[in-house]
Amino acid sequence: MRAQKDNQTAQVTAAAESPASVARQKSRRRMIRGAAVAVPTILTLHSGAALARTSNLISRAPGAPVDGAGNNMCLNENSVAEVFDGGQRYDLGEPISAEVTNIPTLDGRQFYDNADLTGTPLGGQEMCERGGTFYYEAAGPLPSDLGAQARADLIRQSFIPEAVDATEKVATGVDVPRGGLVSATALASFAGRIMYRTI
Amino acid sequence: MRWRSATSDEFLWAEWDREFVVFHRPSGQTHFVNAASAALLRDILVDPMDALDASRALAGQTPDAPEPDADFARHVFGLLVRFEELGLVVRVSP
Amino acid sequence: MPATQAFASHPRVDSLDPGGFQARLADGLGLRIGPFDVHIKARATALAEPLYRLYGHYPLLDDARVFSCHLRLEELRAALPKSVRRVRFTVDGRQPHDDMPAEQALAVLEWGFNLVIALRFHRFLMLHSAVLERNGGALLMPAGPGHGKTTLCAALAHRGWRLLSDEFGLLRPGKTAFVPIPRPMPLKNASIEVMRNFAPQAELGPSIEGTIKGTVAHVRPPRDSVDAAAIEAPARWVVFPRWQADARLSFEEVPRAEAFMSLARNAFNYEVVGQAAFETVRDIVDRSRCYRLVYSDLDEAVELFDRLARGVGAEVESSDGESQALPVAGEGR
Repeated sequence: MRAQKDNQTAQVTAAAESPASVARQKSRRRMIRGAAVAVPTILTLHSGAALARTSNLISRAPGAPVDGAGNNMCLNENSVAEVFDGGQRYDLGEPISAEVTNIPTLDGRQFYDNADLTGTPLGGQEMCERGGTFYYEAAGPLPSDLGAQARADLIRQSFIPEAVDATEKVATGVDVPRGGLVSATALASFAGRIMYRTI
Repeated sequence: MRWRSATSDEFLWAEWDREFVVFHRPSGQTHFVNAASAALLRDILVDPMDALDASRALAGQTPDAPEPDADFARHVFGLLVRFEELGLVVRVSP
Repeated sequence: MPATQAFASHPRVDSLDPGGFQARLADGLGLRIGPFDVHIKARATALAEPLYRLYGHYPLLDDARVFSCHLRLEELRAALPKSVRRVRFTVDGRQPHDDMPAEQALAVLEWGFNLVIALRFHRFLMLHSAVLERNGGALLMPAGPGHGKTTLCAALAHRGWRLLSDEFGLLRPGKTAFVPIPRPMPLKNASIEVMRNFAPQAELGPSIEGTIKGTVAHVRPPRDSVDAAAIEAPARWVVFPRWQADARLSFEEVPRAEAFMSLARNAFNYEVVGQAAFETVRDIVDRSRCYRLVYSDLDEAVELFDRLARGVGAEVESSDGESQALPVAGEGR
């Protein structure tokens, strides 16, 4: 399901043909027989009173504001009714409907535009304005914790028998739809169907 | 920290091709969940469980699945906290 | 009395002469619009004539009834000789928004009625969607502004599809049959000319310039759509349309869970209706085939819907250039 794929969290990979999955395969040194476990996810329908207003406009925020949880809020330009002024303003439509990708800034992850995790890490603003798949280094299993050597591939529905040598540096990919950062304050002023996903 | 699902009569389920939409009566909210979340809510968390055991139970539903790693368990923990915020699960004293 | 005959004996607006209609309108008259008995009282320059044309087929009602709402549109006396003329829209005595330019009176009345429906009539589950019927099945096209829904709807209404609504998919909670509310369809900007070229026989109201949406012109619903406004249609197809300049025609099935969430997102009052809304949308998705359409050429899109209605496999070139036949048979699962 398209929306579900887009809403997978960072640990999730989609079907084997997705860019993130391909990237992970490339970084493996050897294959270990195993099986994938689907990661549980949830998407909540958010809505308020829908009014036949003439327009619901929100402007791209200057800089890279964060919400109370330290997320940059990236408004998906393909999820809104109209884009104005070269992406400086968005019409959220009537009734209001939009998708926002929360890009954490405080969880220690660094995002790159390649699966080799080389180059300069990207900030939330650049990721949002460029759109695409971005990669970060996933934490390996703690030796004192679950003791697992193999890394589970996380896909949405089907189970693919593959695994990763956990000693390998593993890049996990996440998709960020192209758009513009908006302020949490501005977004909160709209009562409508805004779907949030956190990478 | 352990959780169990809200009682089954609080949920209305719709399923298509292993994707689920669930209506939560007390809150009036509607959620899209994947098969793994549906398994948590409908089967795994019928009895109270912590995030680690819930992760293992999820993995156990997959043939030949390895032990879930720390990332997976952390994700399940975060999700259970979110489920609790939504009223889909309740915390149970140890 | 069968639903089809419920208002058959009522006189229509065009049974009055234009002057008589204008006089009745100034004093207030009742119209049957879909499931609603609407009382309209309007005094504004150059409003009566387009209303007469656009609502000519609609049944007139007597005053001895309880009306769903009372709409008023009054042109205000200008404070100074060169002041901008403005009109005031009220509903049951309350003013929902600021006064608007008098030149936009028709658009103000139409948009105002939309506002009333969306805010008030919660005995229906209301989807933000165009709805048309063919061969006894309803085509649902949920979409927000700017996706080409109204243009596509107006085109289909002039190509063998019965118009139920260009804006509101009205459902009685627990039922999957759509209640018609055919209304004049507002086209914007370039779509006006597109429609004139596509269906020269279509009746359009005046072009109203300077609105917040640009230039707006309303397409009169075909007479048979208004005459059949009491005949509900069960859901059969759900198509999420999107117009995109220069796009190749794309038509693909949408997984039902995704269709559910997209439909619910397009419901004006999903939370208000509550559990019954969940059950209704679930049942709609259960019985319908659900698709996503991207198009740029109106003729191509209309032809595709024609094949959909006839139950013929729609050959569409997919994004990878391969031709694929989609199962477009009209029956749901």
